[in-house]
Amino acid sequence: MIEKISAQNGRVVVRYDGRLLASAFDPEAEARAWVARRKIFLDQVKTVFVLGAGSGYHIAELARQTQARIVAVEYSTELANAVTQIHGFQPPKVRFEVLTKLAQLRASDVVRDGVRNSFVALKHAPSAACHAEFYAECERQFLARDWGSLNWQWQLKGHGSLDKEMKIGTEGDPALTIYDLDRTELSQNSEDRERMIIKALRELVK
Amino acid sequence: MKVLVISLLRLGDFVQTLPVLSALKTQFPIRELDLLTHAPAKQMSGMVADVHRWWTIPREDLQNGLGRGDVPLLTAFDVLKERLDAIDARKYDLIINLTQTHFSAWLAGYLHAPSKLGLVFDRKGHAQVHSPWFQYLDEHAPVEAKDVFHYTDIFFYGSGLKGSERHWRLRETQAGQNEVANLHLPDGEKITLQALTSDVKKNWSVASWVKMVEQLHLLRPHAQFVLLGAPSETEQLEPLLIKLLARGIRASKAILSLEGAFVLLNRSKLLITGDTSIKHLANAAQCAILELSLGSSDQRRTGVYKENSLILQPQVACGPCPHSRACNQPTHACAEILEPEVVTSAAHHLASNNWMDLGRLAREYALEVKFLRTRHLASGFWLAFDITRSEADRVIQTVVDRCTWKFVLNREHLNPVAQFGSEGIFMRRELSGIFSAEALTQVGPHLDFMEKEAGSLGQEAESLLRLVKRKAADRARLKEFFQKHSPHSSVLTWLDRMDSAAGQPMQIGGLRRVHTQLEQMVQQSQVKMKLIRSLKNQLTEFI
Repeated sequence: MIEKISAQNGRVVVRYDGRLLASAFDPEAEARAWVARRKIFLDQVKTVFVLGAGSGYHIAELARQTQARIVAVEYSTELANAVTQIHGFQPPKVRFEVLTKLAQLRASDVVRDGVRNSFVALKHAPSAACHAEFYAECERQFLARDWGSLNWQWQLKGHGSLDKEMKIGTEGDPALTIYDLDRTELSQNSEDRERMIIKALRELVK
Repeated sequence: MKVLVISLLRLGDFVQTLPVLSALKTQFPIRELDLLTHAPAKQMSGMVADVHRWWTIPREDLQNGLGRGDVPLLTAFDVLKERLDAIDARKYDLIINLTQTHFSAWLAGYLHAPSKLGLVFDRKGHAQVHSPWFQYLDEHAPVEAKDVFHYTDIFFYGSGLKGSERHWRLRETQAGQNEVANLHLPDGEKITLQALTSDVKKNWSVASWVKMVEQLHLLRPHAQFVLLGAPSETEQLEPLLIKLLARGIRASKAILSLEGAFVLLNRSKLLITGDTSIKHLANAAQCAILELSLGSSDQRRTGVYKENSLILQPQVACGPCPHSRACNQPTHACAEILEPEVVTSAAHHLASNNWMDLGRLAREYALEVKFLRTRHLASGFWLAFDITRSEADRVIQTVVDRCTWKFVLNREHLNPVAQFGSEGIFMRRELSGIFSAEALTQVGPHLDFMEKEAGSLGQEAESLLRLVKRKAADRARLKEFFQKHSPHSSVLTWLDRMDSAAGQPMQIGGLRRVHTQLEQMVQQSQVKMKLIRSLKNQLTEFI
């Protein structure tokens, strides 16, 4: 259930299933602060995945602050349409992927295309709270700090499968790090050039 | 020819490579000279004329991204790979890595080029330096190393460059000029003070700065004192400014970018600084430079390069201390021993270009502070010598040692018509510029001693070399020899490893290193003896 209401500064914000998805006072200022807390790699990556459409102000602010392509992953078609209508977002700069299952995310051409190159994934907490389980799964898939999602990304990037080459981490390890990647068979024995990048990055966190 | 220079250290270290960039353009037929630095160095892009394309590595993002759980694990990997692949697409003919770090060595290894210089790792992680100068840099890295070339000279020769000219070329930018114009500084003499540094160990106390400026104001009543700082230092400089203004001193604060700082330095009579970046920037500016060498500041490697600058170095046993560690003294000894009165008088005489009075001052305070005057020798290297001129033997030893290293590392001695005679003339000229004829008449016995010492070292190295060739060298004897004559050599690490693996066969790679080093020492002693003889001839004729 979507409601459009007017914020104190006159901007239109969205209420979804009773939850307000942006500030009712100044959604733009809120969006600027949201982006300011997520500046890392923003001017370096090719794609920014946004988990949750919210009222769209955070997406509009991102579009202003980065050259990267923005892919907003949204669970609700209705909400995606409403936000597009409010802000007039246009592909290829901003694209919406309406998905309801993790399998759809893994199969999406737009997502796969973004994952092949550099990206960051930014979760919009108010919208993510509406479908918490789905967005948590999406976030895990993008962060690649577990064996399965790391392998999925590594293959998409064209570096081959890690299954055969990688002995990594311990069972139940909460989150993989560059240390784990450096300890892989790939890193120790392979003569692939990618190994040299992993080694270089390892030096930065010594 | 397309060349990529990698300089991934701090800003100050990058500035030290300017003479290399300038000479590369004049000595090689370069179509494109590109640069790879960390992002902060790019703020100088408007000032450096010799660079065609300026690549950066977002080091801070990479480090933060690797350390944070909310950033995808592979983002840092992808960002770095995409950047390196874009660089690779330029198809460079030569890559010069002026950064002696593992990070830069992996990057240099990843990039393709028919020729590479500097530290490079291959795919298996084996290190290659491709120039004996970078090997020298590696082996002389410890702070305890007795005498070392200035980094600028090592970078210069390591890049395959020749000659004694070092050009520090920077241009003023409109933005920098506007920044300084907006300060509305009055005309007349300006003395710029860089009171804060990036390392607290290098800082002199606010009380000392206040006292020094108060006294200097009496000696130079028309001078305007400008407190230079970066935007991040605005608040820290405020207490100093307030204290100076309260004493009726004409002082102002200049919070500037590097572009603005360079313009200000060009308009200043004198810079007093302990900061590395500003000090090196001033090499390209018009002002005289007084360096306060405190804490981890190692003037031998990174001292102010500009000729006729003055370095004040407090005489403390703990200096220079390691960069990464906090001061281990009960009090900040090096800063405390440097009294404001000394800096005041030194600054006044330096601003007046009065080296005679500086000499007197240096003798008066010889027990507490060393006064070092910078010189760029015709032999092709930088030297800071004690202006009390009390150390003729030591200076001669340094000059001869460095000329020897330069001959050996540049392979000049292999030239059938090696210029030992000309080098002797250069050395004599430089020494007679520093010391009186009377002082030079007394160095004969010391030169005889040096010649004998070089001869015996050469003989010992030669005899060990024969044993190594027959695989009959005694490890204990080798160890003793290297500990005495080359205490920072990587051979010692290998010998230690061999000791702990007693009974196992010697590794061929390590043996080869011993062989190479001994061979180099034999050559070095021969070159040194020839240079000493040449200098002796020159001094005899001169005196």
